[in-house]
Formats: sequence, C-alpha cells, structure tokens
Amino acid sequence: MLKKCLRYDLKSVFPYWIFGAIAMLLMSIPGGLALRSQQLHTGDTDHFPWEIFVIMLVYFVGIAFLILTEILIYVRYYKHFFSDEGYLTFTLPVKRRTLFTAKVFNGVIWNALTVLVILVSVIIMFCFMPSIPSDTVPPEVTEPIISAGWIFAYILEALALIIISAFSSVLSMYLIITIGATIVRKNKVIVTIGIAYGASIVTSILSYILVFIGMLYVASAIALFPEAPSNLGLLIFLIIALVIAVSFTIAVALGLISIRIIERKLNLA
Amino acid sequence: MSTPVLECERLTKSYRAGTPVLNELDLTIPSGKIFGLLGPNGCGKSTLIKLIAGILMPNSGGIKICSEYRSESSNALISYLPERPYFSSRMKVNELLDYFEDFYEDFDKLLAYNMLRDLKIEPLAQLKTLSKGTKEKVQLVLVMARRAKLYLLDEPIGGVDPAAREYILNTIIGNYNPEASVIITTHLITDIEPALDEFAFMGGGKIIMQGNCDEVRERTGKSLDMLFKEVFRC
Repeated sequence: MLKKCLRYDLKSVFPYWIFGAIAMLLMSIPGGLALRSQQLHTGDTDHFPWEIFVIMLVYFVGIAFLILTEILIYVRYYKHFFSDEGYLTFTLPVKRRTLFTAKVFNGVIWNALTVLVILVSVIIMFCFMPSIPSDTVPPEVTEPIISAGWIFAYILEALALIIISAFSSVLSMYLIITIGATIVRKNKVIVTIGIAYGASIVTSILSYILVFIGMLYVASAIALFPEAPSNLGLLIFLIIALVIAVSFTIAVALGLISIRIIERKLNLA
Repeated sequence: MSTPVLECERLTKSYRAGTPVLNELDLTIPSGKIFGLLGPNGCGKSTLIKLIAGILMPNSGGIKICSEYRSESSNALISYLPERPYFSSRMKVNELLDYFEDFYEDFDKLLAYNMLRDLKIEPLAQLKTLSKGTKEKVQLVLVMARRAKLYLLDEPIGGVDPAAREYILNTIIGNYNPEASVIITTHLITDIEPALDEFAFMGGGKIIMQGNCDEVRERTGKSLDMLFKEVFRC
C-alpha cells in the first residue's frame, strides 16, 4: 500500500513541479552565457556588467523553484489530510501510519529532485565558462585528512546528513501543519505560525544542547588516546556523526508525534 | 435476527466542552437492510455517520463493524459517501475510477462505467468542469460500485435532480445484497421512503424511535414522512 500511496502522492506534485524544473534548467543557459561573458570581460572597465542582472535572475528563479517545491509538498499534505479530501484519504483501507510515511517520502523525494535540478543547472552554467575558478583549502588542513583516508567517510557522512536533514525538515513542517489543523481551534494561521517559530527555537536549543553534550563525550573520548589531539580527521568524523545522530533522533521524534496526533486526535468536522 | 453489520454501544461525541452531539447512543443494524437514519437538522446524523466512517473519534463508547471493533482495517468493509464533494477537482472521472480500483479490492470498475453511462457522465471529464449535482452523482457511482458490507450514504440525493434521484434509489435497491446494509441519512423522506426497510429517528443525541417501516406504517396508519412531522413538530 505504501508504494500505491507514494505513487499517487508523486503524481499529484509532478504536473506543477515540472514547470519549475524546466524553467530552472532553461535559465541555466543564459546564466552560463552571463558567467562566460563576465569571465571574458574581467578587468574590462568599459564593459557594462549586464551579467550581474542575469545571474541575479537565475538566482531568484532557483529560490522560486525551491519555494514552489515546498509549497507543493506542504499544500498537498494539508489538502490530502485536513481538507475535504481527508474524507477520502482516511476512509481508504490503508493504515494512517502508511499514509503519513508516503507523504514523508514524497516530501523528501521532491526536495532531493529539486536540489538535483539546481545542481545540474549550476553544472550547466559552469560548462559555459572558459575556465572554472577554484578556491584552495590550506594544505595543512587537507593533507592529514586525505592521507588518513577520511575523505570517503566524510562523503558518506555528508550524504547521510543531507538525507536526514531533508527528512527532519519535512517532518517538522508536517508536525506544525498537523498541530495547526487538528489541535488549534481559533486563529489557526496565526497560532500555527507561532507554533512554527516556537518549534524552530525549541528544536535549535535542543540540538545545541545535544550536540554540546555529545562534543564533551567526543572530547573526552579523544583525550583517552595519546595521539588524539593531532588526529583531526577522527575528530571531524565524530562531530559530524554526532550531528547526524541528533538530527536523526529529532526527526524520528517529530514523525512519531505527528503519527500519534493523526491516529488519536484527527476529527474532520 | 441476522448478524449485525453495525453495533454502536453507548457512543458519545462532543465537539467542545458542553452538550454532546451524541449522548450514549446505542444502535444495532442487521445485515441485508436499507436503513433510514432520520432526524431534524443538528440532531447528530452526520456526526454518527462520520464516527462510523472513522473520520471522527468518539469521546467514549464503541463501534463494531461485522462484530469487530472499528479499526483501520474496517475501512475495507465500509463504503462512505459524505455530504460534500471530497475529490481533488483536478482529477478526471476515469482517474478516480482507477484510484478506487487500485485501493479497494471490492471495486467493480465495469459496474461503475455502466452507471456513468446511464447517468450520461463523460469518463474523461475533469471534475472541476462538472456541476455540483454531477459531482455528487460521480461520488455515488464510486461508492455504490463497491461490494462493501456497509454503505454509509450521507444525504445521497440532496443535490441531484428528481430524475437522477429515481435512478440513484434504484441503484441503491439494485445493490441489495443479503450480507450488506445501507444507511441513508436524508431530509427527503418522501423520496427515500419506498426504498427503506428500517428506520431510526434521532433527537437529542440519541435514537428516539427505531423500527421496521412496513410494521410502523401498518401499526400507525401513517407514512414515515407524516410520522416524522408528528414526532419533530416545531
């Protein structure tokens, strides 16, 4: 049933999302030409910098595309669950937990695809440039990391962090919408925005506390090894792993709270 | 008496602190019946239907569907028609049929297409292009094309023309199956009366009268519509 639910969720977003994706990809062509022209005219004081406006436009299209994706995901979630469409959604022979899980995957998949399209657009833009500029990281930082083979571990950690952050972001918005639609009775929009801000502050404080406690543990663990202070690669690895663990814990908690509210408190009047 | 399809035990529901909409309501409906749930505005008919459908949670009391306490798996046994359009308006009629076929094992797509043809509804039409009455007909087609154990029809004929009403009532009667029951709420008692086997009058959050339609007509010498006016006279 999860596959079926997810298929219909993906289908409901696609017809609108694709316009944003096409616009983003198309904008990468003038964006690339602007970058190329800007690089060719570096130091030319007589040249009117029209490229800035095109690059700004590409930037705004990218932001609009991200916002469009967020709106599509969260509006669909609200409409499927808490508007009249909920009469159909919650009378389907599907567990509420499954319906919610499908919505979470739907949100993460569209966020990931949006980031991918933006990334492809940036690559297309860079392909137009005669030479790609690169900022160098000091070798005293990179050498111990690369030589110790930590770079592959970091890539894996970065991927895990991106995926968990995407889940966490989607789950926190779903929880806010769920609370706004089920528990709040009056001034729903204002109270829901208040809840969003409050939840964001509480989550941040909680994250900082958990990361701080974790860092103390990491520091004490490192101190146990005589060569630890020089082992920068391990330290970075452990800190990122800690952030992943905290994000994962928060994401799971947010999801479980939403599911519990939907299972116990949902009343479609 | 045959096995009950629905049993409500001391069902209570209130939306806010105060007078409950349903107050320890007891109701049992056997299988194979077309049951009229009748009452004045605000007596809790739709609330009861929504509780049975599972989109409202009771404050207390229990609901049994086919002898099992209501759970998420009960949705497979219930075919629910709400009193308002509830489909996404950007969907086409045939897409809705595919959707129902995907999720409900008991959905008869061929029967649904036949009913659409009888009601002159174009399967390729997008819902947002249809009138309110036609949307209601589409919903009814989808709900009645299932082979469910319990049909919950909340105001099924309220928004449709008299010609379509007759077709809809014939469809409801035509779907008669000894293992299933149909619960209908409506204000149009005269229209629905010929189709009903049993009825219940609701008032004050409780069932105040319940019986077999033929027996009551014979005993009182009055139609259900007349009896309703007598019981709920303002």
